[in-house]
Parts: sequence; structure tokens; C-alpha cells
Amino acid sequence: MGGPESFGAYLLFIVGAVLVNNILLAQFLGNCPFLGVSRRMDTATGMAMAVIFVITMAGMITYVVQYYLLVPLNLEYLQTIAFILVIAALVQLVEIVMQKSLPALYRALGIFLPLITTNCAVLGVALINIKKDLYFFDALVFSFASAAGYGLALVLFAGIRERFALARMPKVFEGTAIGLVTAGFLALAFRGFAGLAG
Amino acid sequence: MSSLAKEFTKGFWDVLPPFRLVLGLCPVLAVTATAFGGWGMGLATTFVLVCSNVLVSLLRKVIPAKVRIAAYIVIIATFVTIVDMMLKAFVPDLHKMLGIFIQLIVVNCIILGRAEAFAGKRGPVASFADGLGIGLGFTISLFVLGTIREILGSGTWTLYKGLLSINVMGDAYQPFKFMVAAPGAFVGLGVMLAIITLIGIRLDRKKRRAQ
Amino acid sequence: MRDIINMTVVLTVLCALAGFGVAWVDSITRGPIETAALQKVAGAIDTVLPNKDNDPIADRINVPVAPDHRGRPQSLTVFPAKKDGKIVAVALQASAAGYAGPINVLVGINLADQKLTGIFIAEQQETIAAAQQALNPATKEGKAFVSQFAGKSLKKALAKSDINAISGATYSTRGVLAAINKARSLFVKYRDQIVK
Repeated sequence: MGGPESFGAYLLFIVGAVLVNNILLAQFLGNCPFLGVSRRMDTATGMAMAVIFVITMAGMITYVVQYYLLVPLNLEYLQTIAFILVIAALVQLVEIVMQKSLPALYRALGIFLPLITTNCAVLGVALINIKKDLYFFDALVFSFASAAGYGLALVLFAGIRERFALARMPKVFEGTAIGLVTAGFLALAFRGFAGLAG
Repeated sequence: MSSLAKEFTKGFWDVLPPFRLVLGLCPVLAVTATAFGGWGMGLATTFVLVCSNVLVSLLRKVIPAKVRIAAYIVIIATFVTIVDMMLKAFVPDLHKMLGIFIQLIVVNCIILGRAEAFAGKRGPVASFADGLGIGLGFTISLFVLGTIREILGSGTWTLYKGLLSINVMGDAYQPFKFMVAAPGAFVGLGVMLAIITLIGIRLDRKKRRAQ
Repeated sequence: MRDIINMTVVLTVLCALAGFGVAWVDSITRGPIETAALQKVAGAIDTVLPNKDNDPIADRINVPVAPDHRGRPQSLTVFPAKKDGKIVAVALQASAAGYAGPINVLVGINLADQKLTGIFIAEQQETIAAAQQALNPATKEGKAFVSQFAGKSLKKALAKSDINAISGATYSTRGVLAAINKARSLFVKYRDQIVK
């Protein structure tokens, strides 16, 4: 139960969340936007930033909802409904606030925000936080590290995809099919990190 | 063909979810390490899809357009929670195997996509046929991918965990473990998508020649 | 304005209905979920508690124990073996870390002499072949490893020297021992409430 105890264990906990158990390549969360926005580098970096921000925020808020609302009221069975509503509301709120006060950032990230509600990585990380029974700070670190891992995989993948857009390939593999096969080899590369944190 | 039958059968080819519409990939990749996981996830998703389609269609005149997405999400999340509890009570092995992916059905784009594109505009009977057809198409796709991955990756074919598992490849088979691990999921799905596209291109060509 | 009222009313009613619906399904699935959790040990209870004339699952006792770190109340499920209405032995579950994940063991303890009546590996995810065989009751190695525990005294915590370890799987052996010892300390701590 709870998070890691020593400093070394904490480092491994973070490395594990970013690389070894990468939510995208090892746990398959958030694949639709991954394949959808990774054709170009600039959209991929935009999406990565937006995802990191929303996952970290959502991880904290759903944690509070779970332990200060659902558990004390004995309503744990409402978890799915409560979490998805919180995430949907959060994304809307972020969109409105960003549009009003940070117009430059909104122009860069705005179009990705509506896509994030149905990005299963957001709900997935919120649920894993609860399943792992982490303390608040550990949950915060875990959310951020997982999201950073997602962003890293997305940006790396977009870099590869930009290159092979220029390559010739069988017609049936064009688009998503070759994207999936490439993601498979990227996942294979990430598996190499397993030696770092068992 | 009557229009109702058409709504039903389109899910098996024209809009076959993970391949023709490239949507809802997370569960497709995550639970298809065994054939059992594949059909279990498929049927759970079908149940949610059919129920949410019918309810959305019945309520389509009541729900104001501006909040329709929020309303759809509440409806879908309710059915997901029901499936989650039912599986935990009556099929605990499957529940354990699918883990958080049952709750993640709520963000499966296929379901929200059908509510938005079809059930929100059409009658309940047509929506039922649409949901059932697409759900079963999804189930079959997951089952086929799970079968291929499991037979290559473990040498077995699990139709029901603990009750019906066939050792297809025999004891001497050295499992190609890559297929049941994460990278194999991506590559397997990618190759299957390419094959389906190839069949699609061939069929189109034949149809055009026939005309 | 009417729009806003309409939207709020529809969403509120929808959420309320969803809440009631889910609460109703929760109330009807709660019982089956509990029985499903017991199903795993149900088949093994006879090997762990051999001498009895009752049904330990039906007679199970829930002993309240210290709440967890979030203050949620916890309870310990104990399966009693009775003879002529008196408890002669109990079985309880405990988990400890193995090599690749937790090992959950159902431990049967005789009341009179505090000896093990038997153990059953309820759950394990070990990856080493030697451990997979030794912890699987269907194999010859599994039968030999698990059956050696019956009759061992639990007056003191069980040590590695008391048993034949699984060769080549130190962590798995250690996990099984730690789970048994955890069950032992729970038994010692809550003995009075169990027997009562």
C-alpha cells in the first residue's frame, strides 16, 4: 500500500511511470489521439503539452473527489460516473479560462482540448492512482510522470512518422496501419528500459 | 434488403469499428492477449453500446442540444458502472482480467460516436439494430485478434478461462512471446488493419468491374 | 433563460436517475460479489481444514480489526472448523510479496496445539518455473511442497530451516513463509475474538 519509501525507490517509481510502464506503449491508454495527431511534429508537441496539463490536474481532482467525497459517503460505486463528469467539466473549464486569460496558449493548445475528454489516458491515470492506493503527493507525482511519459512517446513517434511520410510503402499500409506497426517497434524499444526498474 | 437489416449488417463490414472506423483502439490492444479477453470485452462493450443507443434515441427530443454530450456521457457511464458490477458479481475471472478497461469503456469513442452520429437522430429500433450490429462486429474483431495473438504467443486458445482452453500448438511449441506482449499488440493490429484494407480494396474493384 | 432552466433540469434529473439506477444495481450485486470472492477458497477449504462437521464458509466470522491508513473500517474473515459445535481449528488468508507479485495463502491452524492443519496457495503470479511447479497443487512437486506444512508447529514463527525450500526460488519460498507468519500473528492477536 501507499507509495515508495526511500529516495532511491522514489526515483525508480518515477522512471517506472515514465518509461517502463509507459501508459501509451505498455498500457495502451490514449491510442486514438496518439495515432490521430502524430502526423506532424508541431501538433504532436501541442497535444503532449495539453495532455500533461490535463492529466496532472485531473489526477489531483479525482483523488480529492474519491477520498473526500465518495469514500466518506460510501458511494464508491459512483466512481466511473463521478470521474468522467469531473474530467469533462475540468476540460471545459480549462478551455474557458485559457481562452480568456492566456489567448496565446489557447491558440496553440485550444483545438486539442475537446479531444482530451475522450482520451482514455486521463481517466486511466485517475483510476490507476486509486487502484494503487497512493498518498496524495505520490498520486500527483505519478500522474505527472505518467503524462510526461505519454508526451515523450507522442513526440518521439511524431518524429519517426514525419520521416516515413516521405518513404514509399505498400498502399494498404499507408496511414494508420504503418503507424501501428511503428508504434509496436517503439514499444519494443521502451521495453528495453525494463532492466532499469524491474 | 430492408433498411433495418442494413443498419444491423453495416457493423460487420462497412463501419466495422476498429478497422474501418479507426476508433476505440485502447481496449482492442489491451485485452486481446487471449481470445477470452477479446470476446469478453467485446460483449461488455456491445451491452453498453446497445443500451446507450436505445436510451439516447428515446431521450433525443428531451435532451437540449447544448448539453447533449454531457447527457450522453452520464448515460454511458451509468451503463458502464452496471456492467462493471455485474461482471464482478457473476464473472469474476473476466472482471479481474479486464481490470480498469471495463471502466474505460466509458471513453471508448465508438459509443459516444454512435450516440452523436446515429442514436441522437434516429428512432429507438433503428438505434438498437445499429448498436447491436456494430457491437457484434467489434466483438468478432476482438475475438479474431485475440485468437491470432494467443495462438502465436502462448500456443493455446482460451475460449473460457479455466473451463475451455485448447492447446493448439502442442507441447513442443516454443511460444512467440512477442505476440502477447505490448509491442506484438501494436504490430498484430497494424498487420490486421492492412489485411482488412487490402480486402476492402479488392472488393471495391470487383464491385466496380461488375457494374 | 428558459433554455438554461431546461438544460439544468434535464441534466439534474438524468444524474439523479443514474445515481438511483446504479445504487439499485449495487444493492443487488453486493451479495454475489462477496460470494464470488469466497469462491476461490471454497474448493480448498477441505484440504486446509480436514477434520470438521460444519461448513466453514457458511459459518465464517468477520472479526473487526484496526482501520486502514485512510480510516476505512477493515475486517478479517476467519473460517472456523467445528466439531460438536465447538471450534477446533480456523483458516484465514494472508498475503506477502513473492518474486513477481503477492502470494496469497489460506492457512489452517489447529486451536489446541497451534499446529498447521494445512495450507493452500490461493493466489500467486510467480514467473520462475521452479516456483510455478511448487506452488501448483496439480503437479507432483506442488503436492510435495504444500503438504509438508501440515503438522508444523506455529508456537513460534515458521523459519526457513523448518521446511524444504523450493530450490531455485528463494523469494517465492520466503513469500509463502511470510504469508503464513502473517496469518500466524493475526491469529495470535485476534484469537480471543475468534474463539469467544
